Amino acid sequence: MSQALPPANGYSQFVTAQPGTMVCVSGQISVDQNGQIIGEGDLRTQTEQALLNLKNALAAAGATFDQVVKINWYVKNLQAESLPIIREIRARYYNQQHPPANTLAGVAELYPPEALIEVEAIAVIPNKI
Amino acid sequence: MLATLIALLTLAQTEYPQSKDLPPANGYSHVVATRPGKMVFISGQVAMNKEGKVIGIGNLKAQTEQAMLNLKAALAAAGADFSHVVKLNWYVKNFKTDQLPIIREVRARYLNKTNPPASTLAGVSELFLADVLIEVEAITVIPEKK
Repeated sequence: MSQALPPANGYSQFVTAQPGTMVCVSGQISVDQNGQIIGEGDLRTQTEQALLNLKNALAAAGATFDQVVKINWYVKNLQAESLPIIREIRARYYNQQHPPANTLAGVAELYPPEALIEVEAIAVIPNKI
Repeated sequence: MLATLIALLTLAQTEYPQSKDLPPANGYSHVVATRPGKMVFISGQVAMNKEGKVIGIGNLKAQTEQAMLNLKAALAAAGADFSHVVKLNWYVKNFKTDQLPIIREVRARYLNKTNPPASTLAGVSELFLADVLIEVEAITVIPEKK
């Protein structure tokens, strides 16, 4: 870890990965398989479902959260109170010893308008030697 | 025989796995998996001409078109094309749902229809110049020549 960087709460300031299969996952939101929004107006439910969709997307590529190196969060109407909710739920998905690098930004709009949170990820599956 | 087997196993540089647990994706892929190659990171491209002037003031369609053209030029400079793009990120000022068809229509003309890259779009409050309405960045992987 670098002493020049402030502490990171629930994520890593940097993550390195050797070449492997790189998996890019598009932003996931709180929808079911039919594209219907789940948890309207409820950040907690939406964070949970978005991460579940992310988990399924990773699984389709044969990857797990342990292999995720970078996560980007886009949060509509970001408030100070939003952070503890997001941190609590993501902690149940992230590898606790080696969480991914992480960036979070408050945004003006997402698609569809009912989406409060969107999460995308890059994972690297190590090459089998 | 062994060489053929190895060649077959290492064939697909980039894969587009499907998941029945996810809703359909319109004009992009949910997941793109790619083998090691040369990574190309392209900064967010906007509707600027070579002289640095923003074109298509107030016109999202014209700006999306020019941003994609600039992205194409950036890819070419790195020896890549749109088939090598694995991930796109879109940042749209004053984003409204009814703008999506415009963006989708323009991007469809550049992206592979069967296997488009992964993509995330966010509505943002501001971009670096007041007249810029849309910005698009790309992660690209050029296969290593063996």
